[in-house]
Amino acid sequence: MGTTDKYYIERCLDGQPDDFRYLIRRYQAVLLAHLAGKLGNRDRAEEAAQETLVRAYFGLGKLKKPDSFFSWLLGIANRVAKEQQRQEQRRRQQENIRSFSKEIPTPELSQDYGLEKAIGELPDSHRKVILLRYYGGYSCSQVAEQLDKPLGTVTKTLSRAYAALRKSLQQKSDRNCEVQK
Amino acid sequence: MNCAECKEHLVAYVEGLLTESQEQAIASHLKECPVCQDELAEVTRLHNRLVANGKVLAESKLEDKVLNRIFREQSLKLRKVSKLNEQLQLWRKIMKSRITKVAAAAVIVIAVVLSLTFLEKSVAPAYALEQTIQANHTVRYLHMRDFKADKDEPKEFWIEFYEDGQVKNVRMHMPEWDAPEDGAKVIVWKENKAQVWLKKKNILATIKDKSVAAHMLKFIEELDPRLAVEHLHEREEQGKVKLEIEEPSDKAEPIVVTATYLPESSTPNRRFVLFVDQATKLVIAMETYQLKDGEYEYVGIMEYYDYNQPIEEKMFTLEQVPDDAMRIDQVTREVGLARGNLSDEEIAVEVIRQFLEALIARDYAKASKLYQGIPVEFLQKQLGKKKFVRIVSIGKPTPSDRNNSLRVPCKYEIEVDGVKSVVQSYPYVRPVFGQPDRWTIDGGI
Repeated sequence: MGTTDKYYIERCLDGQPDDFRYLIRRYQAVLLAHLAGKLGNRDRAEEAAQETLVRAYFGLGKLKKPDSFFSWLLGIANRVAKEQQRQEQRRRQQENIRSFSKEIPTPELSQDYGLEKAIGELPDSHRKVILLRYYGGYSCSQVAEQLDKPLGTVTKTLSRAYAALRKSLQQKSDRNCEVQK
Repeated sequence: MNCAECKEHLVAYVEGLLTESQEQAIASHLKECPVCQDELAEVTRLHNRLVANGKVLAESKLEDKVLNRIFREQSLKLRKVSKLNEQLQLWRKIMKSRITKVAAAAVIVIAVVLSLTFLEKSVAPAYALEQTIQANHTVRYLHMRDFKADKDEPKEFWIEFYEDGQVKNVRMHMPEWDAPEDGAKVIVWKENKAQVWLKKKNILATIKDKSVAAHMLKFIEELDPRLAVEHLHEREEQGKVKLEIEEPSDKAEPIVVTATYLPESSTPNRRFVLFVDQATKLVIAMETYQLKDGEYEYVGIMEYYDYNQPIEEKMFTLEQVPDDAMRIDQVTREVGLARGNLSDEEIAVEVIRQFLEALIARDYAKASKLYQGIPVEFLQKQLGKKKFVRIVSIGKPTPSDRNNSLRVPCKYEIEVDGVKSVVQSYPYVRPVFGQPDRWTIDGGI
């Protein structure tokens, strides 16, 4: 895994903010995947990911366990996503009132929105494994290390996450088919 | 192996997490079982989809955007707490880092983005530079620190203004890096008279001179936030400076004014970022940037504190100078030699001739007068052991860069402990500060 999150966090706290870039590199895809599923739009996911990282940077001093940076980051992302959703709702309400239009044009979806949405719907523990493995560039044993769990558990969780994802994706494509019919 | 067992292990199989024997067992079951083959295809498809999506997202360019925002917000946050020294030190450390190079270039872009974001909430910026100019009219006292990017110790200034905004009193702490040959010094400027205390050399010099005064006032003008802002305002009206004003809706955060000198100005490539307190409209800090290789590079920051906090009178004196400091007073004492009808070269030679003659006659009072008025006791202590015998020669003076002085080559014979020798030296001679018709030795004897 190379340099630990903790090392970079300490560097940042010591007035070397440049090193935050390594944490951004490490977790940007994770955040984007996590947020795209929740927000349904790549642009908004990007905005939320930026906000999350900025908040994380300024909150580094409050992070008690630097080893759990990842979980902490997801927590911030969840709060940011909620705030954005609320804002978006308000905006839509206002727009609806202004234009009397019922339909808001669907925002442009990201490349594999279906997959991201399905990931967003996974239980927390499953999602973490998927995010780290495929978006964080971790191997399974590194995921195990990061989450402080035996490799066997991670493998099982991954297996279950696959099942859940397949089910969710299957339902979605069924629904789409029905709509098309 | 049955189908249930196989399905359970397919993800691990695709991920390559199984032992060799497990893998072989799965492989041989797959050969026999088309249902599990389909299942494997499904799992592989999802795996590939995850990997592909992960790659796409990893290519996002969040890095610079996030770092720029961090820089920007850090700057604003730290302005608010600019009095906490620890925070400031951290800030300066940050300002030295690479992040500032990227960020400074992107400041404008972000300012625009921010103003778009806030467009819904806020009206057009209400702030204008005139307000800061106006606010500064009431400033009588000011304390500031001038930090340079590559130096830890700042220059520090205290200024008292007259009611009309003219400079009354000044105290400056100049660190050694500003003039290594002088070492660290304290300068006090009061009633048109400058006192300089060179700490390392332990010299206290009192100088009264129009050229020093003019130099001093020009220097202070560059420090005065009122004049700096007026200057920017003027240049903007002439189309030589572009101003961008960012006014946060949070009243606790400072207004940020970015002033960029345009190519048509006489001093392009410069950029100032002013942080203005929303309540008082006074400048809290001013960052300086210089365009280099297409990027605005951070040069330094001037921080302004304690607006209108009266400064004690004793700050404008040099009470704390040690008693044993060498005191050179050119204000109350006449020093040097009147030039009369002599040319520059002639008077320079004459000063040296009279100085050496005074030493031969052991007339240290006269020698002191010709040597900037340095104390008689000091001269006696330094030169008393040497017996000046005679002047061998005084040559033709040559111009020098040091204080517009002339260098006068001279040879004289001295006797130390009964041993005679001829010494060659090249002393500097120049007009006395504040008394241009009188000439004095500037050193080099």
